[in-house]
Amino acid sequence: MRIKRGFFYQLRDRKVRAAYIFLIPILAWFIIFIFAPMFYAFYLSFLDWNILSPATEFVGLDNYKAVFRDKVFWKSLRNTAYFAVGSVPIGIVVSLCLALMLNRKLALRAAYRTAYFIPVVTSMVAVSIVWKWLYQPTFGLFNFILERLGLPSQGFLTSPKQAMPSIILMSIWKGVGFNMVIFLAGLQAIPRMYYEAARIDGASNWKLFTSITLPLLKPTTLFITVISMIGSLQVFTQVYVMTTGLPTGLGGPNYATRTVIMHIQELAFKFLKMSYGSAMAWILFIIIMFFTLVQMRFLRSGTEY
Amino acid sequence: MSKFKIVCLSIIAVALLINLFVVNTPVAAGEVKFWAHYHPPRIERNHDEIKRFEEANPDIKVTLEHFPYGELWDKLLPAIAAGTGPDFIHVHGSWTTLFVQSNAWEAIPEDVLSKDYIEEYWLPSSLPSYYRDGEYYGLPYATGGEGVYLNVDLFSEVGLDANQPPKTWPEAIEAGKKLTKFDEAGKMMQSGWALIDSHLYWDTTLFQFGTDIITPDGKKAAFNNPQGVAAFKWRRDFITEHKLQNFEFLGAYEAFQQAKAAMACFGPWYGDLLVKDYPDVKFTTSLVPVLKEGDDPVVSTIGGGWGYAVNSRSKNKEDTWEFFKFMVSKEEQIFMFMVEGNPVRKDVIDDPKIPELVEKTPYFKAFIDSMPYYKYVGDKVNEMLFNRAFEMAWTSMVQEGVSPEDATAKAAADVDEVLAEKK
Repeated sequence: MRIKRGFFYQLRDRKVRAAYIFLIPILAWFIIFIFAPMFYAFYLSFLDWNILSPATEFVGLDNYKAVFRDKVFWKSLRNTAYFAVGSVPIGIVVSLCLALMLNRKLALRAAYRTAYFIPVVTSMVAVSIVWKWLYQPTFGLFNFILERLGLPSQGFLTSPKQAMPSIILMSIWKGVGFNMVIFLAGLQAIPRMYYEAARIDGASNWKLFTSITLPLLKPTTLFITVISMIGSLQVFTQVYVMTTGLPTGLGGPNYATRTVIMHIQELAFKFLKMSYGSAMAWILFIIIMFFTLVQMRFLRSGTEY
Repeated sequence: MSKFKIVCLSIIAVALLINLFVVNTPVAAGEVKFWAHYHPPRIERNHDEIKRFEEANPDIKVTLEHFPYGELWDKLLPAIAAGTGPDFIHVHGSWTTLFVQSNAWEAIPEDVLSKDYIEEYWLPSSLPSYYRDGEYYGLPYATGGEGVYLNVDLFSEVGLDANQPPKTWPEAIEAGKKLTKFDEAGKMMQSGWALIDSHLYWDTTLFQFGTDIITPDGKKAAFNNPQGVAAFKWRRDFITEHKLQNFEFLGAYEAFQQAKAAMACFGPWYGDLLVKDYPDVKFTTSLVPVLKEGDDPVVSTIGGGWGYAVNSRSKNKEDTWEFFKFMVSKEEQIFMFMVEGNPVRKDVIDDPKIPELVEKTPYFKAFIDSMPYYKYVGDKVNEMLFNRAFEMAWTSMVQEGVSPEDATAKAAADVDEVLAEKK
């Protein structure tokens, strides 16, 4: 029979005490830098505060109502959703394909793995600046190649229709190595005996993939999908860097690439609407939490072999 | 006491000590913290000014910190909010409303510089941007100014003389067409007139078409009228009809620096940058063209220009005001002549040293000549948002085919929203 012991009773055990002591620094970090600011932002979202003045006024739900009336917020949310829907599924498929290719006995396999991982460890700002010049319509490398192939040059970041796909492409290129490495670890954890048994039964490669690989990769796929979705809904750096200084203005032509985080950053730090920005940040948090829970519910593994 | 409790108490004690000694370092007496954005010619001169000031005031030490343009605002807000901000700030006149509404800037005390003194010596068009509710909250040392930069070599390549610049916009557009180049695929390789991302702000265009921008009470946009629509159409046609630049090409700064733009509008500060960093670009300057012959030029002061303000939370106000008086004095404004914009003190403009300085640096002349035509736009409240309304209108007309009437109305509505932020 298991006897439940209270927290303070458990602390009498030296090993338990040691465990909690080692946890204190990271817990303190989480409380000071994550939870405390989050709850302070929640408190601020019910006030009217412009960061410079110590004076604050309680405004109740006014900031939240203003968010729902803000047309730029809805445009930013659509752009953010566009980015997420465009980058996450394609990124997962590409990284899974790469992982499947690298999960074989290949010459220079380590070199390929390194090559695909290098963009991951490169600074996002540096990569964004380079890609911004690659996309430059008049002097950029991409249009140079298109013209050499006899194709018309494109506007890329300066075109309202092409701006977001251009950023999605760059983001996939940069992030695919990270997901590939995680998928590789997942693939290597699948016992080979399942494949051997299935081959003996005459299963084709496609059947092996759909009946063994994919189901047993579900926990890995769930992890990658959740992390990628969270990251994509918070996209900021590459959009900011790639659209700063463009003739079409920050956020792309007619806000074509303006995301929610960009809108929050501008509201809070350029227009001094700290409380309004806090309300918007909490709405985004709720949206991300909702999608995370939905994904975890539907992608939860039911496969046991 | 058990070991566990000792460890917990030690961690708390260390955290408290760190907070006491590291976070709350007091400001040394006689120290003035000065923040500015990075513009190499001005920062060089700021260091000289600080040296001279410290020699005359040995008990005061000034520390200058500079940040890339655009980052000064981002650093300033949290620093002021946290109480760790600078004492003395390099500011722009368009920032005044937001900072004064938040009580972040200190009004100039009468015993430092009286209102009578300020109004006697400063150009009237330069003062409104720093004036709120009966007080001056800073002073400009330079006002925004626009002049045309012309690339001498690109002009001579097509048989034109940059020293005989176009005086009207029809002439400028004709010259611009000769100076614009496209490759075989129709891609722009050189802009005849780089208007996008230049200093020819919408303010000047709207003034030239005969409309005000903000109503006298400062509450609403004043350009949603036939003259405003004509101005918006003119700006659209610059790209779609005359094809002198487009949104796919380089912005005006990059284009002119790389000698891929024959003409563009910037302030006087740009000349110094070209001379030092792009010596191969041979240029001259002229007044902004007028709409038709016989019109008087008009030049926007672009929100009032650069100046200085004192943080209301400064812990060393007495020394900071001493430094403020020094920095806005006639001698220092002559020293800073044309580094950032046109001079704003009448006694500077009338000083005999000015013609000598203009003779040594011929490109200054166009900016000096433009000074009688300054026009103050009004309080934009938030200049970035205000200007963005026009940028969005422009891209919507050019890239999405929105009519000038609709674009003007939308820009006016956006501007009304910005102006409504003023308390």
